[in-house]
Amino acid sequence: MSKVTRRTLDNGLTVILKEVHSAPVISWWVAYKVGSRNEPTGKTGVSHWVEHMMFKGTEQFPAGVMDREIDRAGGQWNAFTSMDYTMYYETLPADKIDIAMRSEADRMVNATFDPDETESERTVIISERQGAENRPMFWLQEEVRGTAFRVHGYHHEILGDETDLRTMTRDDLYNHYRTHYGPSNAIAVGVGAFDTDEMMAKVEEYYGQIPAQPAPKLFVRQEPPQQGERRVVVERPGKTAFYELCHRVPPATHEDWAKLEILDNIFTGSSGASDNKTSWLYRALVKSEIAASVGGGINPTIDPYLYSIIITLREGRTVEEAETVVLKEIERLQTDGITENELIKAKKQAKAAFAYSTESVTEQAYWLARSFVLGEDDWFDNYVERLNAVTLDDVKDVANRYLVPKNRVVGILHPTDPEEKVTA
Amino acid sequence: MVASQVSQTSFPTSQNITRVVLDNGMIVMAYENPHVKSVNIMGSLHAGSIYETPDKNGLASFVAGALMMGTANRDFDQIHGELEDIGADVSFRSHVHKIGVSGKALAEDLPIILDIAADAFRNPVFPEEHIERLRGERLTWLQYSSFNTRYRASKALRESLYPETHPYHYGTYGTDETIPNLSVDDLKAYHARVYGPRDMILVVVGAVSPDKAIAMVADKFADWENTDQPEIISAPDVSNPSAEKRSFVFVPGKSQSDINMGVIGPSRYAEDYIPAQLANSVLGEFGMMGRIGKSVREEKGLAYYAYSRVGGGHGPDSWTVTAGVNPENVELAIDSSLEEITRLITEEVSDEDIADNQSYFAGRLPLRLESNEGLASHIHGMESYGLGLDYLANYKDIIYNVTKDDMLKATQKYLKPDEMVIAIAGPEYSNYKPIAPSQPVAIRGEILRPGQPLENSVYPLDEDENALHLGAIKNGELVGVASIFKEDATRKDLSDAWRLRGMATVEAVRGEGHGRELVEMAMQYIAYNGGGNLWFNARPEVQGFYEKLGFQVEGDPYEISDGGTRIFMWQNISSQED
Repeated sequence: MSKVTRRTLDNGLTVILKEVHSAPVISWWVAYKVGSRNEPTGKTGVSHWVEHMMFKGTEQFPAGVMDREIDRAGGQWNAFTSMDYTMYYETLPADKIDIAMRSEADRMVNATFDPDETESERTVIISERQGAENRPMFWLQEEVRGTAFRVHGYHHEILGDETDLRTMTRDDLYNHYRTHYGPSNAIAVGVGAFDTDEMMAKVEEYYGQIPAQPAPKLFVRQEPPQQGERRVVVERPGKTAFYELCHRVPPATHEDWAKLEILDNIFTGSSGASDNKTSWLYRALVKSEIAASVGGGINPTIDPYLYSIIITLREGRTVEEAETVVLKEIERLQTDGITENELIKAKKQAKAAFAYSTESVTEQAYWLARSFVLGEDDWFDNYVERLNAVTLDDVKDVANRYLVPKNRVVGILHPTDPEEKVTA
Repeated sequence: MVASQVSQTSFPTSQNITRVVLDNGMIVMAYENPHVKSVNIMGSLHAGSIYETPDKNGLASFVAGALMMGTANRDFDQIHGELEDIGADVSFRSHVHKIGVSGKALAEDLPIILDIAADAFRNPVFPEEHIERLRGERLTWLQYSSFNTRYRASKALRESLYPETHPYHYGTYGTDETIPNLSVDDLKAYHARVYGPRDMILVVVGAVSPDKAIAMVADKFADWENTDQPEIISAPDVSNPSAEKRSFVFVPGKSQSDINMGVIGPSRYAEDYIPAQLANSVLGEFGMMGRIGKSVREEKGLAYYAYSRVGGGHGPDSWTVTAGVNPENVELAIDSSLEEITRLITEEVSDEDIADNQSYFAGRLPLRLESNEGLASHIHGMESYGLGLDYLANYKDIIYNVTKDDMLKATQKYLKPDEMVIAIAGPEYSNYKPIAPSQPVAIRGEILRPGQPLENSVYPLDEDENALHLGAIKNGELVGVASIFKEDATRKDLSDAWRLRGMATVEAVRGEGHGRELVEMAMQYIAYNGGGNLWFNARPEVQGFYEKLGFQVEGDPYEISDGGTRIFMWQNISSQED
């Protein structure tokens, strides 16, 4: 097993280093514990927009300098904003990793948020949202979230509402940045071909002098319990209908999460290892020619979120047919549970998926950062072990406790006749 | 120093790749990656859509998609049960030239995925019930895609760029006309005729010794024969259309327009393929999507994505620019991209540009070779394109031997702005913008001087440096024009006089407000250029239209030489400069 070192610097920055000498590359990640779940109404999309602004430069690294320098070094870089976090990474040939470490340290505190750049990025962000709107499923998912979460920040899209994207100011963005980007709300992760002591010395050098600041009080509003099934219908021009069935499920660190993950592997298919042609819902919906495809998944989140199943209907088949079948299958899951062989299959798939997703230093670093954000540093490392502990009774038990109507949010996308919508 | 502890990169080379050609002509390659617990397979076979006929478009892809529906030895549930029980996967994809196979498993399960892949390649039975189901799924996907703007733009580009006689004109997936007619017998016959071991490539990479891997592959494939297997077909050469060609696809209910513009680019075999790739990186890849990204995204804020790409496969693939923009900005994004293309074919790139991109190309190799998949794909590529097994070892030299002149010549050979095919898919749109002096002539002639020779619609000041020509573009087509010239007024003494001339909109779009937009744009231009007096001679019937825009009539109507009546109108426009 590779050596993992964890340290907290004096300014509060958590650092995790993992030596992996399989290839001469290093992946460097900085993650901030802030995402769309922490955005109040009127500021939706601010986390994502701030992420874009981090590429607009600091005094030391003006816009475009950093990404060009990393490309020049043959590196890979990106950033992403989720509901729970905002992450930045660079993976580089090992002898070039200083560029990443230096520039991430720099933009943790020195991003300029130039007002002109903010304005030109406003239209880029709106364009990103409009591009997403071109997909009918984006509309459905936005509505399903809004229906499932009335109070909690999971209720809006990470991209934000267009009205907020049009009205937020440079100062709104800058305040979000100043409040949430600091050592006490961040983690730095390095995985790859380095010597841990030398690497830690560099971390000290680049990140040690960043002034400490109090940990931000994150904006979080807990969702009150749901009082009955909720439904939402979206109509978009097109020919294809979709049915989305969601159930409220606990956060990633809850003891039931692994049980639900096993349940999902059998019910809709494994995530990341195999195809899903032996899953219950593929057999019941796709083989029976009601659906063209089915998929599902449980996102490992900080707060309770949704176990979502998405069904693409075949032409001529109805969402009512799909719903009848899927509810019947849930009932069967609650009564009969899964079989011993299915449990073994799910565990083997988890083992394989884990192996596949730890083969690159980039993915290893991502999962370390992600685990930290979830509040358990070894969340991912223990993934296989936790899944292995799940029993047949556990699966039946969570099916009975979570897959129930009062926990349910249903989304339906009805295609409308495009001809009716044509306007000159 | 850190580097001393780094395990030495061992690039796949002729020294460490094991390559065996089986007696039946199949090429098997293996490379050990001891740092992982898994194994990947990647392979290809010359059985892509180029072997089908247009009336059976989609057949090759349907066959590839149906290989895993049942074999002589396993039914559907057995195939997928065996794979899913062990968290493994095998899948097939169809391209124009080749069918691709890829698979992954934990290392201990390599024999299982090889056995299933071989079974699917060699013994598919195309069971009726699963074929009908698959057909329905494929039609559903096709229908869904017909509302996808990116898909529609790239389809429109492909269909405009390649003539119907060229295999690249057709998508590999098939159409709603052909898919319903592909019978089980068609699938069986295609498989029997086209699939065979000759020239097939299969690469195994991962935690397995090469000798063992080769033996396992040989065990499953060595006795496969097909005496009917056709000779390899290549795609014929093809030229760009002789002039810029546009197509617009209306897709209802969309917020964004997708633009796909392109020309015929180099194949992977072309001598200037690498110079073209380097030049393309300058154009639309390096950093935040190269010069196009800088102009369209970073400076103008028009798009989230705007990039360029050289296809470069086994035949004359396209060299394209792709962007997604608000409908209001379609023309601006197209023009900005064309400007960057023109710059790239006119001026050599800078020393910094070439150094940056050479460093980027050579430097990214270690990262690309980190995973099984990356290794397998590069090893497969070396074999498939005949690059030799030391290609990666020599890659740095190949990149650094390219000169700025090589890049310029490659761009000049392929990137012809006048022959560009431009496809736009999304909402209907109207944009207004400056156009070239020659562009208004055709519409002026058609609308203002019908039946007269076109040269009567060329104005003396058209090419004047102070002239401004404006066009209304609706859904990719020029539908309205107007021009303004620095010209003294004929019927009133006006200082800083500008003349509005040649205002015309095509019949089909009358009443949509294009004329008003053009005049307002002209007025705005004058306002931002110091202000002045805008005048013109108008037909009496349009007096009301111009009065609403603030113009007034001066004097009485008068006759002109061809017998018509005109009125003189003008308006003072104050400067907006501050």
